[in-house]
Amino acid sequence: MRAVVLAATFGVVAALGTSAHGEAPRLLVMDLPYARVWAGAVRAFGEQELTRAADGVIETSRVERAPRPDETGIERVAERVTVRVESMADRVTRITVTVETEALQGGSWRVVDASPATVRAVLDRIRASIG
Amino acid sequence: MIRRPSWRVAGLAVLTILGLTGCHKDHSTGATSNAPLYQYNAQQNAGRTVRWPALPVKVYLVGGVAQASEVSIWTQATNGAVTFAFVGGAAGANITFEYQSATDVCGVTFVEFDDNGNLTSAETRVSQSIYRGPQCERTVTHESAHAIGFLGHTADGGLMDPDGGNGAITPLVAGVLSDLYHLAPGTQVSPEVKAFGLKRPGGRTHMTFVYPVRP
Repeated sequence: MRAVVLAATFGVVAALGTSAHGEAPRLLVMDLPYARVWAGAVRAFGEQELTRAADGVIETSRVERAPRPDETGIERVAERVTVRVESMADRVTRITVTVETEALQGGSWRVVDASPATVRAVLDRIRASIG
Repeated sequence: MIRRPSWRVAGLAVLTILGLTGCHKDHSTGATSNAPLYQYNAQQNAGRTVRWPALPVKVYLVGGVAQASEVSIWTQATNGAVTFAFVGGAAGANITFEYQSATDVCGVTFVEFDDNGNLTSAETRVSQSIYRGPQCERTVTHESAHAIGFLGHTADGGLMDPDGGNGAITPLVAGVLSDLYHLAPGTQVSPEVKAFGLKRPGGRTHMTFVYPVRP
């Protein structure tokens, strides 16, 4: 019984770890000054409410949305986007997007893996706004 | 690649020291020791190399933005380690070259990669009004190097300096890219240059062996 509990605990921890640190795509911007990349990344969020936009970190507030067609069996999705903009070297800036995601299922919220579509959309917006 | 002053800075003389740029397997950590490869590539991915997983790299040059030879010169420079195929559309392309309207930079490259060290897309934008001008040096070739995994800038006066330097592909840059494509994506690389010392009991002799330079 104890082993089962331990295994379940590790399983939950592993699932959370995957969600937070899984295969997050990274974007490198070469040949632009950091300040310009940072400005473009902030601009990409337009009027969206941000809880933080300082020290190389942009965080949105938690936003709920309807599930996409491929997100079956859930009633709502809530996402909080974090973008890290790091100067790696002279005119080399790394942007990492992570999305904390929860799904409403059976009346309760649970942590799920981030939607690749959301991550893709954020990266595309950032790329488009950096110029 | 930044636009540099048209008057050019004269007299810049920087020596490239390549003697200690070894590629060596550290059996205690499993990491390949290669300081330049770490500095100009793997450090962007927690010490794991980042490259295109499959060759040839498919390149789309939008509207005559560049000549194929400006990109494929990296095949020669790396002794065939990196190869390219030029495609007629964005669909299926790995690297896309296009124009942008900026006038304060010669070009910019966006590269995306995953945790496993696979480049997943690259997009290069060159500034149409200036990238062929005297203020820019071989912009397409410079950006191509970024797009295939040279993820930094040198300070040796050559092409991969932030301003393109004298436009020459230095042995350091060619070596980094050649090494990169002789290793699988995601190979753990250590930044230390390995030196092994042997001390004779009771003696003062200290012999140092620096392990091999790239193939």
